[in-house]
Amino acid sequence: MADLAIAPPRSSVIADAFLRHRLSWSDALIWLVGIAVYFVASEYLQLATQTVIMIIFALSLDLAIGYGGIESLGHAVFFGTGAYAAGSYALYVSSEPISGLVAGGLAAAVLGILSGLLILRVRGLTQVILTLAIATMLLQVATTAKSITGGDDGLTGYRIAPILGQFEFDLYGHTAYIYGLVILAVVFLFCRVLVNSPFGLTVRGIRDNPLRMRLLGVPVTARLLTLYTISAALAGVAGALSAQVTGLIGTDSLSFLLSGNVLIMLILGGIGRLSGAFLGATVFVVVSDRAAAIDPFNWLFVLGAMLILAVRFTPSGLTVVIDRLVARLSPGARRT
Amino acid sequence: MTVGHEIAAALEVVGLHKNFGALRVARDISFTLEPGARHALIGPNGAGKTTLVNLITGVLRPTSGSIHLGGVDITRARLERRVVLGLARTFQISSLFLPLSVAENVALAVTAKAKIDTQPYGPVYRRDAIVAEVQRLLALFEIEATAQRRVADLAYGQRRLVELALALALKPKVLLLDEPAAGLPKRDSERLLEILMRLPAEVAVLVIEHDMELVFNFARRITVMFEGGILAEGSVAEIRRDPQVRDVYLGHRRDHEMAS
Ligand SMILES: Nc1ncnc2c1ncn2[C@@H]1O[C@H](COP(=O)(O)OP(=O)(O)OP(=O)(O)O)[C@@H](O)[C@H]1O
Ligand SMILES: [Mg+2]
Repeated sequence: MADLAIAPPRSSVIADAFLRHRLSWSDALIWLVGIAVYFVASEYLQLATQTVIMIIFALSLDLAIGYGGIESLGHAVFFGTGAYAAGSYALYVSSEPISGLVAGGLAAAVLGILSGLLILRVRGLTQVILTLAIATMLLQVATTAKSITGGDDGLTGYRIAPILGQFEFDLYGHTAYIYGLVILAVVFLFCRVLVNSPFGLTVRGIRDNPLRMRLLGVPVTARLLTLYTISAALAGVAGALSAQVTGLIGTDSLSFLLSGNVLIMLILGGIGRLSGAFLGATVFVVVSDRAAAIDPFNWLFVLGAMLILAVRFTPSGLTVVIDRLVARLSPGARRT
Repeated sequence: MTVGHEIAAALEVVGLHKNFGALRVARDISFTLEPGARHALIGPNGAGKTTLVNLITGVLRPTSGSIHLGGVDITRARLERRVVLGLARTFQISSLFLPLSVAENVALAVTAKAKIDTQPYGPVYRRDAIVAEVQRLLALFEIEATAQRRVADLAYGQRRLVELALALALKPKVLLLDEPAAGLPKRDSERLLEILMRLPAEVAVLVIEHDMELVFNFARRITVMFEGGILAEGSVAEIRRDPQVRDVYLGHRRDHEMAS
């Protein structure tokens, strides 16, 4: 029994059997790149900020789809609601940005609860259609309610005060980018804690076998409603951030196109693994920007081709390909 | 019904009926499990045994009749409520969380039982009480070595053991086991019997099983179902002697002759 001495304590074998989002060198790399962009690519800061916002949005969708199995094809309603709420908040209540983000998140959360009550009782295609229907209705409302949303002209003319009373938003987007990066870090850490928690495990269980979860005594609709509300709130924060840094909110922030785009980002990067949002959103925003610059008429074609290739060759997303590469480069690496 | 009893029955089913269209899959089913019961439910394929479990656990709604759990009327209670009141089951065709690891599967039941499934912080794998309980359950079924494997990658027999671990994690008062030994190799079904024998004495256990050796060794009472109804109920010795039971089920398996 000599090898007993070197064997790890047995419970660590069990502990290692859980999905966990460890902070690894690849996380460090992501943030290093994020900071490096600020210094070496300052002419692209607007695009970089756009990417950061989309990562937050994709993270929120990943919670709903990837972890909870909630098939939301209308997630832009939360993004748009957050944007309009933050814009109105800046116009009528206060130009202070942090509380503006909170206002955007709260407004989207309320909508999350209301629409969650409708869509979470059903599953599959019915659920997809319901999320679409709600999105379509809200877009209609936003286009009609000109006094609140500015209709097709968009909502603009609000001012955002310096962050913490210190950091003024500048014309080149320096402040905006750092602001976005910090909010992204906070959202990411929040998501990480959430998915590792008992609640995170529970929603994955519901995703995989809801009847069995009920037979473990878990009220699944209530848990999904909590998850959907959190997801909606984060999407709202992303929308609020967008409203604050661009100074303009159009009805496209509620549109089906945006809902579809964020879903494509998630599929590109990999669903149900948080890191997929980073990679997917970055590739999507950068490629569509470059493609639009090169060929303003056919860039959607490039996006479509990209999606088809990704689904054909890496159905579980680009992050899986990178994981495999990393595993090959470091033979001692474990499955995460 | 339970008024006047000194101790409420663990489970009391009275006059349960269920029709699927014209097919009567449960007709006037009544039986009682006292706390600590070791009860077997047998009957030929299609007799309605799984349907009965589905009715008791709330997966199906009865056409008429009543179900009491520990004296509480649960006939119309939601599934989750029945579980919280102490009812647990396993599935004939295992119903687990396929993409998740074995340890995660068991942890789902353990966290639900501990009522911490709403906590949005504190990694599961750093919660010593949860990890220790998962380890205890896996050790009980000697499946610790599979802890890190996805259930989807497990052999059929091992999945059955995970099923049982999930049910036991709930520390139920009434445990319904739907063919726990089906598909298990001989050695494992002997091991299963050993584990069943060591279940807490106060738990009422109803086991559905075709393995007669396991049934006769485990159960003190047996109910025989046939075509949705109860054909006979009695002690193991009584049932073994019953000629009607022998006809439809034991030994000769003449059920298809009777059907034609
Ligand atoms: N959802 C359903 N709809 C219609 N008929 C059903 C349904 N579920 C089961 N049945 C029928 O009800 C009858 C009883 O089925 P049940 O699964 O309860 O039998 P069982 O005793 O568990 O059989 P086995 O020993 O094969 O598991 C069968 O004739 C079956 O075909
Ligand atoms: Mg059956």
